[in-house]
Amino acid sequence: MAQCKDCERFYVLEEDDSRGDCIQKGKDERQAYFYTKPVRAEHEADGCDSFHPRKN
Amino acid sequence: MSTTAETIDRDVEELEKNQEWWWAAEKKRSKRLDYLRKAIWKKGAIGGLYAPGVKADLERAQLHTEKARELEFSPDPFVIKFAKMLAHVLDNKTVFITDHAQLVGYTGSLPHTVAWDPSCASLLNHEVYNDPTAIPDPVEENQAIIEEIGTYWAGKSDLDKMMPVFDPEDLAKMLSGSIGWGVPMSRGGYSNKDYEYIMTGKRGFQDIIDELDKKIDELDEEIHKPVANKEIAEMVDKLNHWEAMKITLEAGIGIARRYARLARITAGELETDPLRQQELLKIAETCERVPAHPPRNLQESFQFDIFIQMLSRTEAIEGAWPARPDYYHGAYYERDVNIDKTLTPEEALDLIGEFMIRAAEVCQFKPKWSREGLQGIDGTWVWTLGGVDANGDDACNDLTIAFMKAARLVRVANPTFGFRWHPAVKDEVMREIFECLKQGLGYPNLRHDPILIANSMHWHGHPIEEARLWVHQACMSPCPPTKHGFQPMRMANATANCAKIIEYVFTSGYDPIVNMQVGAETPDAAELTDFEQFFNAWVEQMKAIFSILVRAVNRARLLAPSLTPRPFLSAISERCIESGLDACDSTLERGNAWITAFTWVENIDSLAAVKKLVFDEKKYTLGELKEALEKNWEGFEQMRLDFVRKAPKWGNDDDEVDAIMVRCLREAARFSKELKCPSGNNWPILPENVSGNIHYSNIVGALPNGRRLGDALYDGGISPGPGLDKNGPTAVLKSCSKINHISDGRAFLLNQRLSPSQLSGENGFRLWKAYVRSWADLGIDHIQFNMVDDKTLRAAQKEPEKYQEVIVRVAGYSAHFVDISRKTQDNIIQRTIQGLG
Ligand code: SF4
Repeated sequence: MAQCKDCERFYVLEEDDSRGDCIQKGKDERQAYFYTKPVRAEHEADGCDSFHPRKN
Repeated sequence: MSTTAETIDRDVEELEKNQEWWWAAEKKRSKRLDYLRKAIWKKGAIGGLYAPGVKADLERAQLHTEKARELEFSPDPFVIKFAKMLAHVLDNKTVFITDHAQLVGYTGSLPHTVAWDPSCASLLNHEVYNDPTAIPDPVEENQAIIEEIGTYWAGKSDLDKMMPVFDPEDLAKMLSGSIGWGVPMSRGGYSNKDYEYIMTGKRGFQDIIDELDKKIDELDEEIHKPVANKEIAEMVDKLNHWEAMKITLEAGIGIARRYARLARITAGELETDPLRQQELLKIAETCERVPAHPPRNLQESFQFDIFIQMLSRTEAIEGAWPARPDYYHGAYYERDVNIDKTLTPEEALDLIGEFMIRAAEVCQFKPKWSREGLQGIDGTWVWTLGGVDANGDDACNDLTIAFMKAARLVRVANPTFGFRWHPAVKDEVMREIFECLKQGLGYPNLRHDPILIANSMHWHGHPIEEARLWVHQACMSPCPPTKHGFQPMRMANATANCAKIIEYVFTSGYDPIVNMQVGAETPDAAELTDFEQFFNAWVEQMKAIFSILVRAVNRARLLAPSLTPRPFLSAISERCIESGLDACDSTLERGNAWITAFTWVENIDSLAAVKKLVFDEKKYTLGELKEALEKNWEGFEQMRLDFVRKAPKWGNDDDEVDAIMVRCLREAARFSKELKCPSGNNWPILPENVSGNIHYSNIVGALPNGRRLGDALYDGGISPGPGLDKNGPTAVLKSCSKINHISDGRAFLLNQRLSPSQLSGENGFRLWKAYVRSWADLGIDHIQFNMVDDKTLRAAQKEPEKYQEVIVRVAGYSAHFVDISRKTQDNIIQRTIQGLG
């Protein structure tokens, strides 16, 4: 089962590899932006519409 | 010059000639500013509702509630639990960096969201639940989440905790909505800050944390010595407050580092444009530096300020934005632009414009009555410019001018500027002010610095060196941002709907709109036999209304440190770091309270009409007038017209009516000294309105100035009624100058409309400056100008889509004309356009 750590958008924290940032590009009708939200490395990714498997 | 540049210049010239300033600004500003300006989601409510697409932010509410549940049975004292809840929000909320931005930080999770703090008041949570236009999709699912959050906070929110400890009679009168506006909460109102401690570049959050660690260690040792007494018992509370402050500071550094990490990862892995990569790395470097450490350059200084505001607005719903940006950021501008030349003036303008944009987009979910009273904006962000320094010398600098230039480029309606005028202000600065006004911004307004410094000393006893540092605490009231001078919270409910004073004289204090006894039980008006008796009844009603509102605020302020503490605000306040007490603790503050007097001038014109037509000329009896008012003038039209046309009106240099204004103000001023705040200081009145004149139009009944229930009230302060100032601008100033602007009240809002065509060119500047000189010589504390002509405003009413960017001065704040109600629009058009010269 895929987890956040398997996702291209997951950036692990150097000081704690069980946690990281989910960083994505967002866009609304007025602006584009990069945004992040903290996630756990082992968070279940199956239900996530934005999951993008890591290439390597 | 290239052909394109020539074309653009020609267009700009043409647009400026046609006074289409908003389109000209769009062409003149940099690509970055243009993008960022257009990126703003309009957060100010339109007709009490948020704009389409703007949504309540559920993320913060969920995070806050999640932590509150987790801590429910923790042995931590409340102040520490609360600090941990804030830290949890800051550690976990979504953060974003807008393309082209150089500054970061927002109260909500995404750009289109309005931050919702569920811990403030159940009544606010009900409003979120009942506002389907602001609930994000899927509405039903999210409504269920909102309900669950609301259920958790029922009985636990600040206001829910405060309600049972208020006097029930005062509470019922206050909440009836007839005489006051807002609720008494320490996490919902106008917070000044100790900028002299936190914004002078001497310390960052880490420095304060280090100091707190030392203090905590010392006190811990003290507490555990082999002795016991009252002082030691109290020390435990200090320890808790200091711990809580430390938690919020660490969380503040933590969220800045999250922005830094986002910027660094984006620059390294996601952004392909090399220029943007460099900008992102600069953002990362900035957020790694501040707020942990003091800023070193203009970008860091602005970013430091934004973090402070964002954190304070995560802790509380702040409806105002006390600030003095040219004073506190000016040295960085000077160094970067003029000395080290690390920034060109144009690059600096980009940063300044963006700094205003970051403030313009801030929004926190507010109840509908608050949104109606502040049409088109989220709160009154009146930033203070100009003025003098602590020694009394001119404090204007190059950044003062740069802010006004940036304002004309970004043309936001919020923040606006309140300019502290004094005799040594240079002509080049006056020109910039005039240019902003001429270009239809409606700001800066002018504040008479010498008068207001003297006023601060008179009313609240601020020492002159502190009084000279004052900032606008909300729209109008000066307050020093100093250790003992800053007021941590001015609760919005000390806002009196003063037209009720004269209305209640006729109803013996019974309010027919809300069907309850609210005011004093004065004798039947029909039985009063002379003007003195009538005036005495007015004084009784004034005292009754003011007392109800002030009692509630005093009670809330006394309870705030224990029931609703402000650990972050305390953490950036010298007096709290020193004492271990909460910022709201009244023993630490000198006191800077004021009663905002909405709908004040109706009293004056009404009293003048009664004096003339009832007592002097005996044309009507009080009994007849009472009946006419009860019937909302229906069946009494001729009589009503007499009261409109044959009675003298304030603002025409008419000694008879002007004397009534002065008499009313002096009665209020006398009583203001009997009303004391918990710090033992006075409660002077401050006549002004925001959009209260429209909000209250259906709440105030018929009045003796000829007004009917539902008619807009006057636009406020000491401005004459719209169209009733018939003797020209000098007569208005002369009437206003009969008021003593130092001792008759805290400040007095005066609206003036001037003709943009008359004021064009060098001659226009000369005329305006002469008018300002008369205003200053007459010792009037405030004046604000609208310089948009009727033609433009009427065209904007017909085709709002073409005039989205037209800004007008409402009262104490500016708004985009298309965002305010038709009634407010008409009210502004009805204001007399004064010809100068
Ligand atoms: S996109 Fe989804 S799966 Fe990928 S890191 Fe973010 S939350 Fe996890």
